[in-house]
Amino acid sequence: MSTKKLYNKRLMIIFFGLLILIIFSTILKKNSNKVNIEDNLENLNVISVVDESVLENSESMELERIKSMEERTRIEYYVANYLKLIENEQFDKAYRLLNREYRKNYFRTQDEFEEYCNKTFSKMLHIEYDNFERNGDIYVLWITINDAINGKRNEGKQMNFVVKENNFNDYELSFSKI
Amino acid sequence: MAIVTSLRIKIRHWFRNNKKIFIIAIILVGIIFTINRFLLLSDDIKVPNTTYTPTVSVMDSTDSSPKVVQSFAEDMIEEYVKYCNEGNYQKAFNMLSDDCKKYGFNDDVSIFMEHVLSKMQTPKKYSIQNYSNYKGFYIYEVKYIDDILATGLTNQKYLYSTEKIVFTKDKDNKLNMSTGNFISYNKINNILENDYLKVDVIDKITKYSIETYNVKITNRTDSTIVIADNLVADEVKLVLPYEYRNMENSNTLIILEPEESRTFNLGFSKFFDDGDTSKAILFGAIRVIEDYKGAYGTEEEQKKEIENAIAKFSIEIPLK
Repeated sequence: MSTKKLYNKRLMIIFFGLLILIIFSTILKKNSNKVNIEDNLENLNVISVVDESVLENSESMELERIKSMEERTRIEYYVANYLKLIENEQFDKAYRLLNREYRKNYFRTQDEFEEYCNKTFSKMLHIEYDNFERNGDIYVLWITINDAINGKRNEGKQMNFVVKENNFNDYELSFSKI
Repeated sequence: MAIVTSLRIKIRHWFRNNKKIFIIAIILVGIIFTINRFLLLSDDIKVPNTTYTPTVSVMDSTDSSPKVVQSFAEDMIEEYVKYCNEGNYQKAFNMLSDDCKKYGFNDDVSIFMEHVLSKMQTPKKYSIQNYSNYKGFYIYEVKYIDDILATGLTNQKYLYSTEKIVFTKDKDNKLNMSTGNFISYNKINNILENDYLKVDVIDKITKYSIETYNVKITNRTDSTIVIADNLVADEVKLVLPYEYRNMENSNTLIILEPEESRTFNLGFSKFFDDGDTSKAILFGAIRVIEDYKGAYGTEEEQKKEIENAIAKFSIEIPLK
């Protein structure tokens, strides 16, 4: 083999080596965007709003977690988060998430909403998801909420949540006043 | 300086000798870069996964209506529901195909209005779902529901109504819309006659889950002819390739006085898109009776009537 050919061969090896490196870096970059979530999503059916770990993640981690959820789990997660806002007395956020027409119909002001929440919901809630249905792009949930500390079995309040998801973690909702 | 010049010449030589490889390499890098960008972009526009796939047929998940039909159906249904919600029934009625107006609602807007009110008494929200696409008929299931997002189902039950809205092309290749589960109207004009009676299957109205045949029957005798009085099994059936279907309203009495001629609407439950074609109507227990008392007679009299009938026979009227 002549020196020239050997030289060309080396250059080609270097070049293709670089090419393979680029391909691998592309794949690695793609995979690094995925968050490995080992949680058993089925457990979210009975998720409690007292489960602190749900909200401990950062916003982007939460978004990645939501993206990995199945439809029903995701919508139930929104409801759990919503009740968590009420539990934590973040009424302004909770009020803003209500459907505009619903607010007009039932809670014209945030004060009305706060008053209702304080009267209706206990400080620690336990949720059970009884049923779930989709009607077009609207989701209907039947849930039972209970006082997680003082509540007795079978004393829970049954209520509906109606949720419309616009995008991941972007939703509006309403609930049946009880 | 000489080294730089020598290196430059070497590089130039290398490029000249490996021109093809160099171009291929650039193209490859370009492709990888484009794929990378595409993958990152597709990750950014990821949308929530949902079981709501309105364009995919419920009956066959590998099937969907053509895009032209899909967008036409979406626009038409939106306009139709808008008119109905506004109480503008005449405008909504005008949107329907001629056959649907005539044979589905008897060309009567008040009948149509009754139908609309049975489905959507108050202004409703709606959602559409491609249900099936069969023999050039694009069937959509439309669900009507109150604005439950605005009520949260407060003091309200979760209720909704549905109907099939069907799109098909007419002779001029224009898409037509039918509501109230109406599919089509077909003339049949099949006649079968013997010494006792003449049966004329005039036409058929097909709705999504029912076929209704308009049948004219003439009694040619001086006796009463009983085709159906619910005293004998298998009196009237729709014949399908591998099974028989009972009449939708099994209480229908088909009894003809001497020389009487009457028209009956015989409905049979059958899904339009089940893949079967109706073959015939079977009158399985025709009795020619001289002095008919029927249900008014005692059980003994009814038995005797059947036993002593002048003639007992069955006929199948083909539907092709």
